[in-house]
Amino acid sequence: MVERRIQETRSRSEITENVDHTEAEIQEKTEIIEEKVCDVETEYDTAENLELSGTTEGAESVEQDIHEAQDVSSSEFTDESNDLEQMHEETEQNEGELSEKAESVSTDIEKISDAAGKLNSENARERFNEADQAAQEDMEFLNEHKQKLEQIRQDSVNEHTQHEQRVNSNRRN
Amino acid sequence: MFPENCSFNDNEIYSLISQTEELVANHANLVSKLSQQDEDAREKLSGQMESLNQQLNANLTRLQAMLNLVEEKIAKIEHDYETVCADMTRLNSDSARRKYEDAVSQLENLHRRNLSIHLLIQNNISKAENAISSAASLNSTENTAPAIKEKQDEKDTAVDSLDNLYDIDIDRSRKDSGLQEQASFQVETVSVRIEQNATVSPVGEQMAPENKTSFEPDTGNTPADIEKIISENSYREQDYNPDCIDSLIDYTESLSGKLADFCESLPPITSENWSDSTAEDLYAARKHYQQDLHYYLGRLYEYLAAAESELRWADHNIAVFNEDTHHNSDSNSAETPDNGLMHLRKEHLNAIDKIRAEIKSMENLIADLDKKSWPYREPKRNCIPTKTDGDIIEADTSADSDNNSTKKENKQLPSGSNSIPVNTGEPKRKIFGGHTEDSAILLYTYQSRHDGGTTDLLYMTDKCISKLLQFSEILPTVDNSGYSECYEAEGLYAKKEKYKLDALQMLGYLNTHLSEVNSEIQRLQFWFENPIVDDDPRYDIDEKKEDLAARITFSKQLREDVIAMIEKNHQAVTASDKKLWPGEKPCGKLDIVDHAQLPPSKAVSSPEDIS
Repeated sequence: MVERRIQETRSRSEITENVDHTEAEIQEKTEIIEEKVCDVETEYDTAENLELSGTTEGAESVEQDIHEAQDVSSSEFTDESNDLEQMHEETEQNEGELSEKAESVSTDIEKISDAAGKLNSENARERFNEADQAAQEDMEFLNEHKQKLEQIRQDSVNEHTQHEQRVNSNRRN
Repeated sequence: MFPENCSFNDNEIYSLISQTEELVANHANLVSKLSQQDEDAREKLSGQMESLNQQLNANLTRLQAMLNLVEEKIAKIEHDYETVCADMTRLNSDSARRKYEDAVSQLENLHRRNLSIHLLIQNNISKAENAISSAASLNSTENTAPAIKEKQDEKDTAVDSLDNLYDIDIDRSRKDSGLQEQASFQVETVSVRIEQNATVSPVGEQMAPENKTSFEPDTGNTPADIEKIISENSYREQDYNPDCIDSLIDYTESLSGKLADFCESLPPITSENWSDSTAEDLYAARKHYQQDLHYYLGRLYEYLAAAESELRWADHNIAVFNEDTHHNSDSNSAETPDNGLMHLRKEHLNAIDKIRAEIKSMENLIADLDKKSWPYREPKRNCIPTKTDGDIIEADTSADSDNNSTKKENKQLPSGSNSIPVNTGEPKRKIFGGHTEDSAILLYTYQSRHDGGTTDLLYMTDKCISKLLQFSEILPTVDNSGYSECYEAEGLYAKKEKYKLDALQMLGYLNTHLSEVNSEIQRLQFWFENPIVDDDPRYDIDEKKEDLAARITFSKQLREDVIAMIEKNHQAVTASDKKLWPGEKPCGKLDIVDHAQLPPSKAVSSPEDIS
């Protein structure tokens, strides 16, 4: 029974690896998005600086090409933004999972504490105290990683909001 | 965002030009009539002449304004061209860059179109001015000589103004040189046209249509003279010159010949001499020649584009010339349109044929050369195990620490892979971060000489080891009969075995890689101590030594990393053997071979460290 339960849990290294992986993925996606934002700004600069002389048809064609480039970059930005938002959701789920686990451990700690109070044997009580200590460490670990995930997500959300503002300020009417 | 109402209506220009041409034709007829009439008739016609002159002057003013406008537009287009080109290099996205390339192409077309309009207007202005001055000089034939001089000045001014116009400060890229060459050619076309106008003006008799069709010897401008003017003045850009084409083709032919001879003398590439450094250096020298060949191939393509562009413009100008001749001459005088332009056209055609033939021959040579390339660039070598059979893969241990025998040892390298299973064409499976097995081998083999390959390999091994260790820790206990309280015990043990086999496979990769790194270190050290002396001025022995020293340091660092990972892998496999399924055999002692048998690695930061 205990073994079955252990199968459902995740090891600490797995959780740490998962947090690091999430951080790296979000970082990578943010860099890609930054590139797209720079492209949108460059295209806006180009459109602003063009004199567009020549024939009507030629000027329209050049204008259209630049607009299409803007559309392409905006569309790529939207796609990447959607991916990032998806990542944020997944991260939030992971946070929830870690939070649940931490709560569960907290409940276990209470139960262990209650049970230890009822024990008569000194030896058994010592073992229970050790178990209580281990559960405390586990709860700290889970809370710490949950907070780290939350921090990563929050930072990314803030940065993404800035990216969106930059794109919206440069988006053509 | 974009400026409004900035477009230019070409129809206005064309209608004004045709109107002016009509006026000039009427004017010429009137002048012709005036020269043949007596005094009374002249007085009657002078009223008409006055009116025509006024109209012509009005048109001239408008044309001049339009010319200024077109020049302004050309400057703006050039500004746009520079802006778009500069911003294009800042873009990160390829798809956005493609759109910018379309815009650049459009701007080039616009530039070309406006140059054409500029030329037409200038030509028209010249005609109108000729007509007006001819009327003024009708009563005083003494003015002929100054008038011709004036025309010559006009020609010079026109040429200078166009020269200034096309003095664009853009780098001499292929596109830009195309624009410059067109501009240069058009300057010459203007020059020819003004010469023609000077030929037929301003003497009354010469303004008659019948005298305007060809280059009569009145002013000494024979077709040969015109041709000479064109040949002397055109192609001011040294980048495009038919003579240069001949010399370029001569050079590329000789280069191709040398390269072909050199390739014949190259040693054949076999599995025995793939690590032979002499052969490698010979192939490296060939690569230099090949790069030259590619460079000159690029130049030829540029010339081809320029020649084709010139041809188009020659066709265009011939068409314009024919149209003008048709307007301004009578039906009897429609003969050869313009010998100078026809000659140029023919010259361009010949040049295009020559360039195309040379490009084809060079491309054939390059294709032949690509078939025979150095094995380092060959992606596939049977040195990586792809079959997971659980055997411990032995690495090559034959490397000797004696550097003097390096060459001999290196030749044994392929034999090191004999004990390693080769690709047996089994179904592809994912390894190396999503690559298929074959692509992973390509990636590994190619990148194994660089940092990326080792990093990937170490990363993948680390992941395999972590999984194996994690899984080993949670395995349930089983007795000798295979009974366990955990009903999934058998499946879990099977999974552990799979992870163990993966770790062993990575161990094989690491051994192979270590062997390669060792060989590389020995080879580099050998060449560091016995550098090749080369008379080639591009060959800098100090630079080569520094490069070798850096590569040795780098390879030694790689070697240490790989050895550390092999030890870690070994410990993980041993740890996983603590819990075994009944009947499962432990891997036993895994001997970590001291592949290197090299002196303890130390950082090599300078050639002195090596020696």
